Amino acid sequence: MNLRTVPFLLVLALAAGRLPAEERHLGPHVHGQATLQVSSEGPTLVVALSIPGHDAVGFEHPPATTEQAQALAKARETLRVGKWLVPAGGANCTAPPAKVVADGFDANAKPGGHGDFDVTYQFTCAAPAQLDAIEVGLFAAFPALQRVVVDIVTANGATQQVLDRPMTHVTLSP
Amino acid sequence: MNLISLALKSLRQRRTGVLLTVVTIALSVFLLLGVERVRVDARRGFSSTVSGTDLVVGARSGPVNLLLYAIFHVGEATNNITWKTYEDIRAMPEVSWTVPLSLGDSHRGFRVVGTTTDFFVHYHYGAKQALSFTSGAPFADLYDAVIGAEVARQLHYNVGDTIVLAHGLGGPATSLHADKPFRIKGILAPTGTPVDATIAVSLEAIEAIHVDWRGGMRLPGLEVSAESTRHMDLTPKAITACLVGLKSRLSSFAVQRAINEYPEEALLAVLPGVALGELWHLIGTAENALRAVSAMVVLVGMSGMLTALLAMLNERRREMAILRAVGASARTVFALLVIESTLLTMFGALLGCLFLFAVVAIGHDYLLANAGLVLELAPSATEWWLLAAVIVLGAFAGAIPGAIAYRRSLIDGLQVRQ
Repeated sequence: MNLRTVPFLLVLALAAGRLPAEERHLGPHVHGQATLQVSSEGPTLVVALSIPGHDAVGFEHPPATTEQAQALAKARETLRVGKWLVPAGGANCTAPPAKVVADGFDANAKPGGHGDFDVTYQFTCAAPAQLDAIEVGLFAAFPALQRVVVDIVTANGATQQVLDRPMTHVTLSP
Repeated sequence: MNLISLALKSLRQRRTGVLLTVVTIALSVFLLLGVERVRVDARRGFSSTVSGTDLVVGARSGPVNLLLYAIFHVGEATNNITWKTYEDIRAMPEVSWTVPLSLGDSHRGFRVVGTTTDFFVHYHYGAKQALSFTSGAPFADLYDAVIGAEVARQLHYNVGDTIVLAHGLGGPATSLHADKPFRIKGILAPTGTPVDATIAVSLEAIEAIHVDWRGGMRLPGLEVSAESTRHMDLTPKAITACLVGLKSRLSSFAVQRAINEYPEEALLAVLPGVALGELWHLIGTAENALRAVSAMVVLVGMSGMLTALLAMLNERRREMAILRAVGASARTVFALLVIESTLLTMFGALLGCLFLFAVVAIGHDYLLANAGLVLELAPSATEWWLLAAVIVLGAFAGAIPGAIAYRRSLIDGLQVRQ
């Protein structure tokens, strides 16, 4: 190597060192466990669900067979309509169909990666004072699911409730 | 003569044995109620300590760990948050207010918290109660300090007094910040939270007292006087944790996620109530184990009493026989023994309660300062039930010697066998 190239290489090395470091963040992913984040303020009730593909459809890659494609479509529809989620009847809450984000199931998904479904329901309640509970029928909708961790933020503060098969009732009042 | 006074007289005849039995029961009741008291008060105290704070943010560790060191001053932070990051969090559109917390120094065993005057506005406890001052006002000058009610009470401080902070958690006199004394500007009203045992100063003050410190000690020859520090840039470089209030609860989870995925620094945002729930879940098993042990100790106390009563029974054959001879029925003998054991248990329970009262009264300040725990002097509803259960158990225990004496007094008659 020519001695003159050494300073040049040094500068190059320093420049390379200044490049921003690659970011590597990974959220938790627990098979058998879905997370539900419930928050309410005034007439609005927002429920966000994250469920592993493993529990929703049984696989976490782009569908390879017709059955898998059907399972994926069925899961998407179940989540979009959101019939498994029922706020307390007296509160009179309604929500438009939700947008389902399926992460790790499209063609450009990283092979061997994980897959999740994320969906957020936004309810508007006519009588929010009556909103003391919600019924979560996830275990019936997704038989592979074992546990739902529910984080709740209401006017009374934040709490966490864990639903194990076959529980469905989530209390919103303390 | 009625049976109770007869039982009392008979107990008085055997003072030493009775006293020992009462002390055994008292100790077991003390343990049973003590465990319950600590359990209930710890939960109540912890739950009421943060109210109205949407998120607690610190360096990434665990939710319980973060909550414990940031709010309860138990344990230490794994890392600090840089000031730049704190400003980024404060600038998030969903964030309504933030309160920085900088820990690390102390004064005679009490923690010093570096913060801003927003702390007195936004920090709430109990049922969303704000902090209030019994005297004085929030800190205004660089070298002003606001002290909690417990600090003022224990160290007999008043507004206007001068205090010297210690570097770290105290120790040898060399690590005092003696060159930059603080003046007490305000005293907070009691809250029953760890705030009572803290000293609040401004973030700039924390920066100022460490201006001439490097690597954990003061630089010899490079001391900067208290006055000249005032003219320096005292923007903090780092804080320990911060409390965040949001404009809308609906954004709680979104802000939490954004902070947890903040790329430049590994942060953790927790919902205080959720982290507390995790804490209860963690210590629930230990609590149950403690309760089981204390319940067993009560059983041991009871069998101690039973042993004593049974041992005495042999010595008292003649007494029983005389009682029968003067007209007492076998049932009276049975009742006498049940009353004796009930009285013993009641005395024991009473002594145990007094003992607990004394220990709580004496240990109150120490526990608040060292564990952030506020213990009530009055028993809770559960404790009354536990006491009732112990006394009922004592009465039932008395039925055993009672039954034996009942049977024997029929057989023995006046003939005492040797």
